[in-house]
Amino acid sequence: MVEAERRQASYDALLSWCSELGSGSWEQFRRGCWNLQLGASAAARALSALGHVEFCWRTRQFSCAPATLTTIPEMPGRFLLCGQRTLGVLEELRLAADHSSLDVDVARQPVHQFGAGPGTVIVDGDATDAEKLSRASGVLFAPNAGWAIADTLPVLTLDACGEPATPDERFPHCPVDPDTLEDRWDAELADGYADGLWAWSTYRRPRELYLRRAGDWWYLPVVEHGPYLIERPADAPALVDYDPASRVLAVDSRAPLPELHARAACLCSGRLPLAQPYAPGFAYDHYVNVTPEVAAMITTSLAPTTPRP
Amino acid sequence: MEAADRLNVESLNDALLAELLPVGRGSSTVLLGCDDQALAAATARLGISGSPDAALRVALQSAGPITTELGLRRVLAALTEPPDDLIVLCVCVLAASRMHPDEQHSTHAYYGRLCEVLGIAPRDQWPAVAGFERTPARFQALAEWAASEGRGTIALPSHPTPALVGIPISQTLLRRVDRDRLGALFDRHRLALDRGRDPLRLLRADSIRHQLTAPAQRLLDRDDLDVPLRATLDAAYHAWDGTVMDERGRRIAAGTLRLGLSPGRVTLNLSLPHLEAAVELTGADGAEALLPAWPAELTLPAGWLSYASDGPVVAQAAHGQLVRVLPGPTMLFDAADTGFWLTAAAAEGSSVLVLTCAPDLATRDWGHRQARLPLPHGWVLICAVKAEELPEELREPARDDESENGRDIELVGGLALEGGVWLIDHPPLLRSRLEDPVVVEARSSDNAWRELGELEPDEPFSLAALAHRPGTHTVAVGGHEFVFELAQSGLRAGVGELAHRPRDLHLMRAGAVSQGDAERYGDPRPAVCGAAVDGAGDPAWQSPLTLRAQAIVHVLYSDGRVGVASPRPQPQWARQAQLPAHGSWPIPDGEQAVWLCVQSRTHPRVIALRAETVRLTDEVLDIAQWFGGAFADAPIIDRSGGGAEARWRELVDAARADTEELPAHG
Repeated sequence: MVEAERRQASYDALLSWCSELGSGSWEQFRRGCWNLQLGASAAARALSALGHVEFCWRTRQFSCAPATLTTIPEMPGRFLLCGQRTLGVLEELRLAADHSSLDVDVARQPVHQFGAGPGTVIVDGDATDAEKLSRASGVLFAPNAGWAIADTLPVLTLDACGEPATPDERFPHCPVDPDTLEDRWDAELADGYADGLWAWSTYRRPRELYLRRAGDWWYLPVVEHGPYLIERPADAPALVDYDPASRVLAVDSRAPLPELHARAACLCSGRLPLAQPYAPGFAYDHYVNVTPEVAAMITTSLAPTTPRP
Repeated sequence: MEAADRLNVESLNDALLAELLPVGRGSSTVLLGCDDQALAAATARLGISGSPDAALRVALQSAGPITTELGLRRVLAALTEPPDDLIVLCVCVLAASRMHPDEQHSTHAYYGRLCEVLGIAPRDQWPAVAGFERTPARFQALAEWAASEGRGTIALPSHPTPALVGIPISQTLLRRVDRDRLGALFDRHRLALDRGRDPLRLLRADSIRHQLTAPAQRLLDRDDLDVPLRATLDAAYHAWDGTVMDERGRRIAAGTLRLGLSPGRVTLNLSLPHLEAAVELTGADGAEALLPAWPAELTLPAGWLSYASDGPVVAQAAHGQLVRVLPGPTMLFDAADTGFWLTAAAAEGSSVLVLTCAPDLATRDWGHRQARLPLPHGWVLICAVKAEELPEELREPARDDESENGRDIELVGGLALEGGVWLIDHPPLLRSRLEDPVVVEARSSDNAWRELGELEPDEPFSLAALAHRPGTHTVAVGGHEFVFELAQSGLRAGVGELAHRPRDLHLMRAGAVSQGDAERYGDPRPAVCGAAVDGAGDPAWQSPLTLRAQAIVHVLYSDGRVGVASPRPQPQWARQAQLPAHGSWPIPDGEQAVWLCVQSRTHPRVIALRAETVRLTDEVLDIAQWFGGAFADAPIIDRSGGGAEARWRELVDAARADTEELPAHG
């Protein structure tokens, strides 16, 4: 079995396992990932972006989202199954469709995600039948989920994303290059701290982010917010770019989208972003089939490279 | 023919044979475990809805008279060869299964039970049922026949004690006295058993096994009878009447208890499985409360909890039955998909809610985990208590594999669902710290030991050979035995408990949060859980009109327009993702479409969408007549609620009339 196939099988098993447990601790999740030879952080990000599992980072718990059918933009006869995916759920959906005499096709197998996350389950049928199917099988029906989630996204400001805090200088830390977004452990020792983004290595987490602005420190609990809150050089490439013709939202892989932003983009297709390398060590994550409205709401929320108070 | 007419000794014999000695068991060891459940299942096979005992007697009487004087003699004389006499042997075993120490019969008063089954009085000489002395040879003959027919090897004792009665008793998997004592096991593990966990594994790990009768304990020690034992326990659980025997030997209905908990309020909700009609309960304080029929619940009066500090609280029902409403001074509640239910012990790795007045627990400093609730003096409710924080008697017993951990060989990894249970296809691995390789053997539900390979030092050994078989597996390696279960479903608890609150400044930074955390900040909306958004209004979405036919379609709109639509090619991203092609596709302006004419060379058809008239324009009339009249005579699929045929005919006629008028106009 090639590595991508092994990872695909592992991700599908991970989702089934989480679904059978229903909920649990981050420790359990981490152990499960370890046993399946998957990275826990990457797996959590994939499961969350696809709307399968929710994670609380403060209490270190996970909980499956209820099984939900949602629509795919521009594909009105196709529906995406998100959330809990217990063993045999596809067969249960098929039986529910048969029992209700609905003309729908439930995929026999999930469509692979190239080993990057659990496969995509597509239900084919008329929209009215999909609604009836969700009622008959006890699955939620949430049309236009990508748009609905994007509509809830707040504008990311330092007040919203940061908590005033003083980092513990006893732990190793270094500045983050605003251009390349790399941790500069090789930075020269300077007097005092410069304004900008700082990476801290602590007991709790191997990498925490602090933002220093006008001499004040802010702790950023969600590290993905960091790159979108700093002032970057004027000639630095945009972190997020949208091409309406191909409906691709390209995001610099050094600045991955925050959890809900990624979910809004992923649920436009049910697909995880595809990495498109543009230079050695650099890539754009391509979110596909993102509608102009969703892309606009995501970029408005992030307003990248523009520092805000 | 009526079910009762079909009932005779042959038909019931066949049904019992299918139930107790089905073909395909090969040389597996089996017992002729005829008990009430087996008899009921056999009569059900014949479609008989009345009393199984009565049906049994009718069938026996059809073979020969049964009286105190004749006993079984005439029936045995009529049924000379195996398996024709199976029904007689089943009667003997059924009597053994009903043995129970009560005021009339001691456990050993076998003949009394046999006479009850046969509906006769015992005679005054040995044996008390005439003809019974011939049954040992009949059991032997049946065993030889079953072995030759591939229906299993019936385990018969070589030196039964007592000589005659010992044989049917040896075939009884569980006697009534055992079933009564198993009530405590079923009560304790109700949640696990409802989730389909292996009752045999639970029994073997529970101290209740030592309270069973000696024959039952001997059966549990044997490893070749797991299949029939498991099936019998499973049947016994499903037939369990929900009662337990208390320390004074009283039969008490064990109520199920659900904990309701909201900020500042706690309720204990009692229900009694299988209770068909509401009953009035009188509590220890004399207060009366109405327990509704299952599955409705009675919220217990708050004062009753204080009585539980001295032990189980029993209430008396109006008809005299005793109902256990509270189990004692410490109650554990575990999550299930329908709420928090009373459980006896916490499984390893799980966390439970503890309602207690036991000093060693109640006086501990639980910090923020101790709920602020109005409870009787001395009582506390503690949330999120981990199993390891509880005294040993409140924890599930250590598993076989666990007790071996830290030694030479251990079970590691896999996808664990709960203590001793792993997800099917993902069993644990074996790891050895021994210096030499050791042979790994496994026993699955077929009871046969199989060699799986050699466990090398410090190299994980995959149990992939067992991975796809649900059920309990025993693995023997290097002098250790590991027992674990592979299950297809887990607890599925806590689904949807976490949600994002993206519009709240504090909560948006925490990822998804629980409802309790959200309420501390005023339960801000919207809430995003998976793909669902709650509290933001419905998104702009209208169910589009779609079609699955992969063909060109002419759409006739109500205003007289005609459009041509066809399935669009799959977008690039969908092709890259290898999504299946040929799905449903949208009809433009579907909300105004009235007719769809599907252009197909082999199956042209017309779909009526709504019962509306179409303005007759040239385009509409052309479509009705075009394609060699294909649509004019095409089959109509009516999705408009009726009358489509007539409306289409009208349209076609109008088109024809229009065509005929053309020369005149010309």
